Amino acid sequence: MLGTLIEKLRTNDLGRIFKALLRRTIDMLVYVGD
Amino acid sequence: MNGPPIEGAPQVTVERYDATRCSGNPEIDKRLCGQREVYAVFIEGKLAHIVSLTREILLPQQFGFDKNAPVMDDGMTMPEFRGTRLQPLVRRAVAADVIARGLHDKVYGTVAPHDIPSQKGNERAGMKRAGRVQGYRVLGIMMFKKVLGPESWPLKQLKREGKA
Repeated sequence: MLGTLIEKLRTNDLGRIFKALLRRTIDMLVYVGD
Repeated sequence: MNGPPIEGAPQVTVERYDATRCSGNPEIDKRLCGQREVYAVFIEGKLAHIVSLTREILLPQQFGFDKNAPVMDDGMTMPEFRGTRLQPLVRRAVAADVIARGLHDKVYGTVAPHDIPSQKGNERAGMKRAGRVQGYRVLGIMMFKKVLGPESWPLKQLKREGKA
């Protein structure tokens, strides 16, 4: 039951938006020009 | 031309646009919002490269970098001009323009670790890697922030391993 719900959320646009809001991993290189 | 001249590339012209001065080209104008400026590079009249300059991207300053320095972002070379090494020329020209206009004495650029061409372009432009920032953004709040040193993703080592 819970698995189905999670799977539905995972494959659903709303679920993706929710996931993006909830947690987003940041990993970037910062360059500086002067 | 109201943007900076590109040294050693007389056929290249640069125009600088902002929210008060649109280009009429939807590819450029869709990036114009708020304080954002867009540098558009033309070769023989054809749009070849676009890069935005903004202070609205907070990523470097959220990790303790200079909060007043503008950030170059959202750079894109049009498909027919890819591989022409345009990016280093443009990045150098934009940095020089920022300094010449007295906006700031430096400019930042952010690149994803997997984006090797952009990293090479930045390094060819003479930009130096200031660090690698990592963290989680949860409900808009940055958490578990970590700033790694410039050599945390060594391009030279990746080149040796044939990954770059």
